Amino acid sequence: MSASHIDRRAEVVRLRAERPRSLTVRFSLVFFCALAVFAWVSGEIDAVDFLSKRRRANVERFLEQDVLPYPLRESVRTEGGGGTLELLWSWVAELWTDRGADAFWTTLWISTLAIVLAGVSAVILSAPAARTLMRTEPFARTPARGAGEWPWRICAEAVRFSLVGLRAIPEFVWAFLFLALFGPGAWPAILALAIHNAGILGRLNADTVENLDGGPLRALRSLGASRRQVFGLAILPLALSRFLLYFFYRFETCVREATVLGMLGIVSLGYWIQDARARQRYDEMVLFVVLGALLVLVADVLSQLARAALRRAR
Amino acid sequence: MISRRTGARFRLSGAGLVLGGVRVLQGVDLAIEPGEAVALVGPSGAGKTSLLGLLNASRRATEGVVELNGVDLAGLGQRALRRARATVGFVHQDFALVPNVRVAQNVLFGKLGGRGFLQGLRSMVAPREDDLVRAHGILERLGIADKLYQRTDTLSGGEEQRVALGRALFQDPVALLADEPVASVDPARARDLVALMQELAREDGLTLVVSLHDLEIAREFFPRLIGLRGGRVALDRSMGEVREEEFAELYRLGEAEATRAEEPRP
Repeated sequence: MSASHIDRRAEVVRLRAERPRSLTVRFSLVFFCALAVFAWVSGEIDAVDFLSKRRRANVERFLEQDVLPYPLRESVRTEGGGGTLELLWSWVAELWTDRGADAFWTTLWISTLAIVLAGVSAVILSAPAARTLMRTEPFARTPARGAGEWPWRICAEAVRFSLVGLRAIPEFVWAFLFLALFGPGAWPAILALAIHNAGILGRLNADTVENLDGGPLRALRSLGASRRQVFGLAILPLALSRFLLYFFYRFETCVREATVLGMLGIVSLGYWIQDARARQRYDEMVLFVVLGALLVLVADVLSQLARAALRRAR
Repeated sequence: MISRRTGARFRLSGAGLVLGGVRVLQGVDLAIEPGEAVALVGPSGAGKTSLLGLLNASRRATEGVVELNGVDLAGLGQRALRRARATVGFVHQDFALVPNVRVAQNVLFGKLGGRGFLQGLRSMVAPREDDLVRAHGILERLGIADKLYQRTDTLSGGEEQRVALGRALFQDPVALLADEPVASVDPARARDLVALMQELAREDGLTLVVSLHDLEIAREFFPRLIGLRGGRVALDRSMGEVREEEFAELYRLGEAEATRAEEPRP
């Protein structure tokens, strides 16, 4: 090995020893590893308990008897066998026309109305919540400092803080509150979902605006455009695809949550899931759960179609 | 340093390229010999970057033949294609470095083309000392050896460009391509960099193809000039024979843009 090679090796070692290191990265790495270990070791979670005999028996009975649709169970008992499929079909059809269809569409309407309300307010709120826009000189490369900045900053932080407030309270709790205020019906669910999701979407949209490339926006400001003009005419087109991505993602969540909120007594799919469980009709319960999953699938397909159509539009 | 190997030989015959329904290259016939240094000039949109893409096998010619050292690039499978790409260093116009990792890491990326996924991961977590020493050696030739462990985004534009060049050299390439290296930095640094690339290519026996707009710099450092216009080779001769008017003609505004045939979308 040549002398220069050894020198170079030493030089690499020296440079490595002097490399800039981030304390934050190191600290958080150690901290989270420790936290994970602590959670496993100290908690009340007992892995063995999960497999206890009684639980297993419960699960077995559920899977072998309770879940079987009513006509199937009957035909197994009477050994008749004939026309089982037809019976099964008429059982499904009856449940669908009796309660399913109504609850299915109600769930879809609740979530659609809620997400539209949330989406519109979130786009509007994203402007005052975007810290890069809320400056004396928006999107400046090096933000100005001084007393003049304070009103803008306070305003932005206040909006952000209220957005946290909206989403800090779960939709379930919002719905609980509104049920007490307005009585049963679809509106408590719609408002609860709209408010919670406005908090989430408002924050995501505001972050999107903050992360936009400032170049074109600075250019518009430098030719005398107002904040509102910049927001409506440049920021919206720039951020629209991102806004829609979040919008449809939350739409999907809304559909799921609308089902869950039924358990509070709002007549969505969740209401009948709860009802079937109370009457110990697990076969019906499973049918409604499957309907709920189907609804999420529908929401997913809808959002895929909408986004594909937008991508094609030029 | 003595040249350890011969550079790449490129041969294009009737090569053409259609991108997104737009024809960007047409009927390109070229032969670039091992160790040659070529300046590639032409107005924006003439197809310089696309031609470099063909040479680097990152774009497949829509028609015609592109050969690297006698191998037709069109016939290669995924694995062979990766191997071919690994032998051609490419300095991108915007450097295309990963900004938030250390310089050493970006240089070490140069060898990903010959390695599997796990080996690549290893070079990130616990790089081999030999690799680091080699990276340091390359950075020293580029004059930024002391930046080995800096975060890449803390460097200046000129330094970043050198890191990009270092990554290409770490590939141990047979050819070095650079896309408008002059456009990205100020004139003094640009001249310096082209001189550096030319010197490195000569020392290592690499074939060098650099796209640029500056006739002065082209004259000074490259024995051969290839001019593109409207996706065709409009000029290909040794630098001494190129006249000012011919060069100006390449850049003349006018029908060249209009003649770029739009092909029907599929």
